[in-house]
Amino acid sequence: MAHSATDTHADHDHHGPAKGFIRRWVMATNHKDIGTMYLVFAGIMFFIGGAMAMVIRAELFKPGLQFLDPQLFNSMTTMHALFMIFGGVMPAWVGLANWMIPMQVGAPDMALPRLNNFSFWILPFAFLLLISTLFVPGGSPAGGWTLYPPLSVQGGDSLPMAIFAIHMMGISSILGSINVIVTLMNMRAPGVTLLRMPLFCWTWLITAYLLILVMPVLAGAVTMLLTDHFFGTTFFSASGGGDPVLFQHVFWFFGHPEVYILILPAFGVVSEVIPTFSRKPLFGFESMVYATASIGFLSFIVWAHHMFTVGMPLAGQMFFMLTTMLIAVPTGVKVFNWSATMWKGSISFEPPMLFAIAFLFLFTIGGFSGLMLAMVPADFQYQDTYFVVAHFHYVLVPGSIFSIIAGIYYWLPKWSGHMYNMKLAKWHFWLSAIFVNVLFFPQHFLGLAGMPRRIPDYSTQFSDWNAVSSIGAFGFGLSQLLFPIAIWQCVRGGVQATDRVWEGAHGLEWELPSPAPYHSWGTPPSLEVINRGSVH
Amino acid sequence: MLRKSGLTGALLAAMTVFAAPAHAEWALNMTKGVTELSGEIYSLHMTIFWWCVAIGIFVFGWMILSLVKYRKSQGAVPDTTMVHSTKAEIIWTVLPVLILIVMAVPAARTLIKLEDASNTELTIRVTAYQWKWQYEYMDSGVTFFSSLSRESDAARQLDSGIDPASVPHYLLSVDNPLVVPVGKKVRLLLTSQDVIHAWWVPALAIKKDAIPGFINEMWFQILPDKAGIYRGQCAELCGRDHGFMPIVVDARSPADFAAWIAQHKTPTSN
Amino acid sequence: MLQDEAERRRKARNNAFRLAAFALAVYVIFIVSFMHRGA
Repeated sequence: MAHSATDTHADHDHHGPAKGFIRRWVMATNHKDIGTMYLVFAGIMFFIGGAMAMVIRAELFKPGLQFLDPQLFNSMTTMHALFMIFGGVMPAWVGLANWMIPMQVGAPDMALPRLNNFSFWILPFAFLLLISTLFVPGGSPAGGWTLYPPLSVQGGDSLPMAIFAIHMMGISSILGSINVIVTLMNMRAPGVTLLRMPLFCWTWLITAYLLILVMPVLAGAVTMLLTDHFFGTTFFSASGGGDPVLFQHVFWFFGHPEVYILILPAFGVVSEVIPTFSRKPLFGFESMVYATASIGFLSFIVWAHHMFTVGMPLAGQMFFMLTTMLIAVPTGVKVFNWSATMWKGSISFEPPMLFAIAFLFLFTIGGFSGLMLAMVPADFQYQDTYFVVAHFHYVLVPGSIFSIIAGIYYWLPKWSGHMYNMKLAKWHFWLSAIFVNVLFFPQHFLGLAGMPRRIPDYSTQFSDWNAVSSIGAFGFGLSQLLFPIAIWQCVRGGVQATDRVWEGAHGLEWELPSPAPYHSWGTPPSLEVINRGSVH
Repeated sequence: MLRKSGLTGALLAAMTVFAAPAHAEWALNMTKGVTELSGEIYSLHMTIFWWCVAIGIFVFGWMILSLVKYRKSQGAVPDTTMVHSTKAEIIWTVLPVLILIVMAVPAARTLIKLEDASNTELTIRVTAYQWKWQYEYMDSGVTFFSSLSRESDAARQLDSGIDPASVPHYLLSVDNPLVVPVGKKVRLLLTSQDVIHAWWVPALAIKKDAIPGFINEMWFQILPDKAGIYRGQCAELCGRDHGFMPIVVDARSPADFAAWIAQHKTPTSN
Repeated sequence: MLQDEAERRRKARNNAFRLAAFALAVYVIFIVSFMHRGA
């Protein structure tokens, strides 16, 4: 473990951040500033989306309608999903990519800094527009985040607003991923070959390609909704020769790769955190890369497993069942590789590692329910029930969100130059890990017992597990308040972090001082530094 | 009707310790249902569940063993040369493929049976509306609407002040149930007049979307000794009152069914 | 070294344009390919 002198990079670019809010943040071109803005934005969206989830769980705490009109309930579920997916998880990953990718590949910044600024600043406007739909006549979109017609086109003024917001988010993600791709393909320091890139860069590279392929498809689908509603086309209406199910096919052709867009960078973070705290290189690096690429490829040929009940031909159902089951293979390879990385390691349990371990266990549970959902005959019983809700929350909350938290706890000392309050972070972990299971595990039972999803009220036989789930939700929601407190304290001060921060950390970002200088790798790292940072 | 469940495990045991309120259900699992195929689907569900448990015991066991055995605090020294093993990687690629094949075979077999809607003895057209169902017996012309029962509808209003527990089968009862004969292969032709809905009765283990402008087909055959009332709900978000368009199937003996048809034919048919 | 970086940035910019053109093409092609649905 080469503990290094850290000033090997020549910090020739001495000017710091620009003065003044507008010059520094509105006109930001520095990848670290933009990364910070993305992460802060994602944090705000998580709390807004989380507040909506609390409203949903409060209504579902017991049978009968206590707080919400059913239409408003439907708005809440729809907006919760849109805020969490497009406002929370995706911008959080772009924020981490902005911060870490240039530092990890020895580039001075993202390849296209002004584009980077643009792709961030679209987002606040997109979400202002989206949240303002809550106040227009007819209320905000209430047809589910999947926007299935004909239901979604029954919406009032909110429909064009939501579609415009989705277009803006799409443009933002496409520009963001273009930036990631060209940074990784063209801006790597000489000597950082593709197979020497850390897995976080690899998974992001594949994610970025997925985004560029599928965001235009989503944009196309919602454009067709718009023309159906306002310009008399009938893409999705049988009365003019269209087909409502066509929308579902197009939507899920976007939607399934989107699921992997949310989770692949999580695989990257976990693949960095586990080796660090096991003090052992990642097991099977190349097979991890191939597994990620296979998952990316398979994501394009499984989409119709979201819609087995629309009445597809038998051959179609068979095809999508088999391809869906195949995804278990590369995902299994990943889980086995992570387990093998911990085997014969020297494991310590700092907060990032705790979140990564919770990810391993709980994401695997989400994988199991995913496998069950792939079985078409059984899926007819699971489809559109709380079993599905439990499944995708297991892969998204302890999957994506826990990894985002792990990544932030992992790199925060490098960003701020201070260690955070470990005790507080561990409290955050234990409360999250316990409550997330109280929240989502009972939803498996509810689904199997026959409770459909997206209903504001339910038969009394579902009361008990719903009450448990709601208690878990409130506990989980409250425990997340510890996270901004821990981050705020760490940014304000604390024990000075070493350059390596974690004993077992490897990679170019740890060869920089803590906090990372405003301009890093102005001179590309030397081969010696690259070799020291590289583990494979 | 707390069901005997196949699900076990410490977690569940810990969770079921909660004191049960008056109307406690705490149901954990799917039921076997009342058709031959629903039983088959149930066993498929349990088979794959136990496969997942077995794989889980192996994977989680391995992880827990690592976490216990190789702790730095216990003086574990990392073996930094262990970075790759072609043999292991081949094994954990091929083995899952084999397990998947073993699981896919019964699933495919059941699926083929499910899709075989030939030789049905009774056809009912089901038309979905926001937010009720219309049933039309194609052979006899009996037609009626089926919507949420009045008691449930009163209790489900915002701040109605009516305790849902006091309403029998709250949200799962209708004014006019769908009456079908047991032992006969019944075909449903599904369509919709407005948005997409989905017809689902868990005990029959069938669910399919009702799509405006298109007709979907599905079938069920209730076991001859399983006459009774079976309840379900719309399963596809269909707007404001999506949660309030239940389905009730009243399965009767063929003789009782014929009597019911004869009774309803004259006044309601056209 | 400086020249090398300018060269890399130029390549990055060109690639970015290609990727953006690709995304736009996917968008247009997807809509056009469903035009027969009564649009």
